[in-house]
Amino acid sequence: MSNTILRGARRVRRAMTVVSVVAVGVLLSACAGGATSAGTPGAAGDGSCVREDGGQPTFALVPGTTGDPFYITMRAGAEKRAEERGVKILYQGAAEWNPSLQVPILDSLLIQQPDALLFVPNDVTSLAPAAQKFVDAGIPIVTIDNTLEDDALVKSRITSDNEQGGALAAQRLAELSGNQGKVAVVNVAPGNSTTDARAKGFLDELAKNYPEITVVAHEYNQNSATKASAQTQAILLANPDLAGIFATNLASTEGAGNGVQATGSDVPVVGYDASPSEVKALKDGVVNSLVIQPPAEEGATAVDVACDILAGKTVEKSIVLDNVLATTENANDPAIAESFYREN
Amino acid sequence: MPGTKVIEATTTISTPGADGSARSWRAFVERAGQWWTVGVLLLLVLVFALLEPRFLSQPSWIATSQYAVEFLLLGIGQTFVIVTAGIDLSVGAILGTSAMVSALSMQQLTAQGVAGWTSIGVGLIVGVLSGVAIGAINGVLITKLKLAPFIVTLGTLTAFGSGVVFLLNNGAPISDLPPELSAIGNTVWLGWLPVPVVIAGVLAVVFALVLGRTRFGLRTYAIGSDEAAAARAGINVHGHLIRVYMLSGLLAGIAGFIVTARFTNAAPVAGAGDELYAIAACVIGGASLFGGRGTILGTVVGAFTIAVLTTGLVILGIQPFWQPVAIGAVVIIAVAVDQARTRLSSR
Repeated sequence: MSNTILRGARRVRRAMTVVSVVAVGVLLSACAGGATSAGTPGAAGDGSCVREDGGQPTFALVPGTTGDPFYITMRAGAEKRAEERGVKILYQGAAEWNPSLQVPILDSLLIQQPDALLFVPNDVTSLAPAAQKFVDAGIPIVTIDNTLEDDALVKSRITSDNEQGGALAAQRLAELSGNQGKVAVVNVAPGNSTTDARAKGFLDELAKNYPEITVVAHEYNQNSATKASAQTQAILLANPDLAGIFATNLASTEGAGNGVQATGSDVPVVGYDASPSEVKALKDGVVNSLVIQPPAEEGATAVDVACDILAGKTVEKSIVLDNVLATTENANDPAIAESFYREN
Repeated sequence: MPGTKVIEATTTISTPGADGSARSWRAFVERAGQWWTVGVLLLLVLVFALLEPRFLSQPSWIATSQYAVEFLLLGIGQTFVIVTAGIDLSVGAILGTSAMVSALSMQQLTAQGVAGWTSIGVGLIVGVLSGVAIGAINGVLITKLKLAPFIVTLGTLTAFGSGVVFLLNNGAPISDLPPELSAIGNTVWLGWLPVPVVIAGVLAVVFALVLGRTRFGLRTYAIGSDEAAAARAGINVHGHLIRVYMLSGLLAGIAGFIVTARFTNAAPVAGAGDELYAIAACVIGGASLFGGRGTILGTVVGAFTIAVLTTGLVILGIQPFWQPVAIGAVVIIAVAVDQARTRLSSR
């Protein structure tokens, strides 16, 4: 259902690029009355979003990668809100997570002189020179999900709180284990700031509030589900009384679920993200729970914040959105199902 | 015995002071031959078992053998390539690409209401054929353009592993596949025989025979020992090399299908970095990167050495950063012994 709506929205967006900007501006400001307030934090302004000269604003949106369901969902969220507020989105990204692939994309978007850059930087420092050119041209930058280190480059940072997500997972495993026992972390690679923050949130929460839960293993799988599965099986063998597993991303969650299944154990796995394959594992009970980020809300909030910047309002420098927890029991609950990521 | 003669000849060149120890070391290396890797693997298993008896258990075997499958299948093809004095850096990229191609075709067929097993059969064939096709590209570029295998397969590794694999589904994983796939990927026969391990085992036996007992295998060794001599002996060197790279692609395609079957899901990142483990499996198993030497048995042992180190160290609860250190150390020791053997046989 929401699929058809969004496909329709995309068709409109595509049409917009063909029809003259003025005509579309008139058309959309007529539609903008129907814009809804989703109550996103930091987004004071609703309704139509206009440039100082009264024209239709154009925002460039650069995802972390183009194919990841997380970013596909983020794009859909941003485009839906842009549609509501009469903003044109220029969407460009690379298929692979690689800062050097983002540089030419940023450079070519700069030529089109957008009114704002909504951007998931692939690196906190190395994209600073490319971002600086936007700042020099007077184009405000809003980072989504990941960010840039240099404060001077960024008007506002929108992130979901990875440490809060890790803490949610810790609370869930504590609840399932009766606040005691052994748990393991199946992680991606040391130095990956996002997944490290999830693990840190998990470990900190356990240390702070659940002293009777011990972490007996913390393995890294280099984003290979096969390796995560082998490691999970080995962890279960060494710790037959394991009370739970926290898996920090898609490949880790798939691997941990597969590994638990292979050993015939019923140890609960709390995974991260909600790609279609993970949602299936959740519904099948292979994975007990998923910590789900709000990518659609992140994208929508970025559009709102950029509109506020255009309107000359002060915006919050840092906007942190909370994650939600889905379990096998509540997976079919519409409010939860709405937060699952989409593949197209 | 010709071997004795060689040893005596080499000792005269070694430093006089170390004569005795050098002689016994070389004699040991020569006699131990290819079997020393089997000894290293058995020693590892013994050490892990002594430190943690649960290492010798059915769940441990399932975890270790299933993990070894990926490197084993890639390693079998890689062995043929390395025996010809070539290298195939693209096997991990082929695994990912053929997994995506296979999954895309299964997804399309399933969406059109085709029965699960039919679409799985088509998916297997399409995936494996795509692997063979990329292997053919490697082989043709290497032979017809006379480019170094390292360069060509580095190119296809980049093009397919970082490009095509993401273009296939715009970078997204493919998950709506026929559920029957999981039966291939996750069924365990008689408690000890996971289906992927059985498939890999059968293929290992078949290709051990192909390499060791057939004209195809003999020609593979001949080309690796001396390409010019092989050509003079009437071997169609170009045609044979193309077939060897196609074989490597075929096995990577099968590996891609098996990984997809295990997770009922194909991810573009599948197989990334696997080429290094596949090459390590061959090298640990005694294959020489200079060509002319290597066996499938050795590669099986090499793949299991890597898998045993991975699961064994996790079971022992060793800090995870030691795992790559251990694997790296075994690779270097293997190459050191390999070179000692090469020096012996060339003098």
